[in-house]
Amino acid sequence: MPQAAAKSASPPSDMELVTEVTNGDKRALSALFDRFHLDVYRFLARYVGRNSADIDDLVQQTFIEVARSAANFRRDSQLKTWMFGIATNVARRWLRQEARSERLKSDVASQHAIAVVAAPAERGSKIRSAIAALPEELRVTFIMCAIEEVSGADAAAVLGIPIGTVWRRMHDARKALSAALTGSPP
Amino acid sequence: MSPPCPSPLVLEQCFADGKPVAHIIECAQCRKTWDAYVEMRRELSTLEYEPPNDLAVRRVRAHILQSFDIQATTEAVSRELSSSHLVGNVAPASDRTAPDSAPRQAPGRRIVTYASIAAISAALAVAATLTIFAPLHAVQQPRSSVATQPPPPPQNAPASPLVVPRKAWRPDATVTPPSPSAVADKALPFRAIATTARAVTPPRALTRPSTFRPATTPTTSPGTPTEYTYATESLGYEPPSVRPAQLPLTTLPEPTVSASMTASEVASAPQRATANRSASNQAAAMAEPAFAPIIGPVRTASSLPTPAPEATAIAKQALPAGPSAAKAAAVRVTLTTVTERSNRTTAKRIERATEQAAKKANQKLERAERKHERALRRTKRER
Repeated sequence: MPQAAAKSASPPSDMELVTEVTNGDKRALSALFDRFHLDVYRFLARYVGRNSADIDDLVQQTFIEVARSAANFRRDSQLKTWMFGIATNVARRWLRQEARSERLKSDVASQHAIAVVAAPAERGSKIRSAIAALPEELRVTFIMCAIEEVSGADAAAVLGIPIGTVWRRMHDARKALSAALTGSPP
Repeated sequence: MSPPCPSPLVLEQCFADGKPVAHIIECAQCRKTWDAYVEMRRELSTLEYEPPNDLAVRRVRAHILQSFDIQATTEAVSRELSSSHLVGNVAPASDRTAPDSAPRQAPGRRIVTYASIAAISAALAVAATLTIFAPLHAVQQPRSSVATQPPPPPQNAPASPLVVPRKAWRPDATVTPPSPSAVADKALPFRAIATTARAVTPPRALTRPSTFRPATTPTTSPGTPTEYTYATESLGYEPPSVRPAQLPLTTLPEPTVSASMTASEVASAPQRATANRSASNQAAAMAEPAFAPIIGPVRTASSLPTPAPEATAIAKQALPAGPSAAKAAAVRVTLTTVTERSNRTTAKRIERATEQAAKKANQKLERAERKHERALRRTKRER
């Protein structure tokens, strides 16, 4: 009896939660959100580089996609990594849209000859600016592997690239960051 | 001898694994790089991150769960519909790559649609063909009531092939213009039009009805051959013989006298009738020029060109097959004849022109030689 009570009290594993979500269990999705929402928040905040309502929207979209694609989870990587992959795709789509709208805004501003002064970056530290200045593919790989400590193999699987490419991107990102922090050319 | 330094990628892999190889510890350069990596990791770990507030997290969670409910409901409804066979292949809501689930037209119905479209198109084409060719066909049919025969081809036919047969045979008498009622009846031949015409004054739009093409009306400039006319001649078609200005005026209404008229009106009735007649004649005379370009100059039978004898013979042979076939055969033969004649004429002309050019050149040469001889003689004399 005590063993059964202990069994029922122990939290379900990630895979069990995913299975429950696939079956349409609302509580499983809620549990999944409670377990991973901070990681997803942090990852998205570092990837997108903002702390605002945009991140809330992105997190929401990410978890909706997770619930929709739970049946497609192959279980060959960690659930968190898989969710980072979904978040990456959601953020990429959002960044593309943002770039398009920014371009449109700048076009309109230039047409109307309005001096639009860019707001100073909210990123306080140099390193955050340097990360934000990295190319998109280097940034996502660097954040995933160097900050979120996802293994190279998992990152390669999630991003759909060879493992050697992951290490090459990491090296390039480090070089660019060092150059940005020291002020020397890379 | 120490091993070579590992490549940056290997160094990255070692750093990610957290297991530096022995060389990295021994080599100063590799050690420096490694320390830089460690320093960067420390900096990254201190990277400030503003966590989301609880309110935002709760709101996001509520939205996610609401969306999940809606999605589950939609999928359940789709599943029920597909299982109950009320609707065909309804793609589930989650299937984003599902094809368009809009109901498509059944194949049988599509075939019926295509067939009806084809039938309507064919009917329209037939109607258009009939509209174009029916009046022509009606005009080409010789009437049995027409007793007069066309004049025989003239005996004194021009011997030269350069003389191109005239466009159409035309009688001494002139042609009457069609009346408005006759224009409406496009299939009637000219003779019927002439006999039924009451009002001489044609309508304004009667310069030339588009579908009214009597066989004797020249449609091209005078002087060019019209084989069609030859065929009609040989088939016994009689052209019209009344000119608008010469229409019998007796067809006009006689002056009438009614009981309600006054004495002066009764007395002036004949004068009014005469005035009406003269007005009608004037109108006819005014209307005539409008028809003149169509009818063309009046020609006598004696000036008729030589009809192609082959065409007539072939037309007679093909007569049992119908007048249209005979006419077509005659047209074909005459066309060939005319082309041959034209070719022969052109060749003769070219020959003549070449001969003349050669003659001229010879004359010039002779003149130049004579001039040269004269100049020589003059020079000799001077010497």
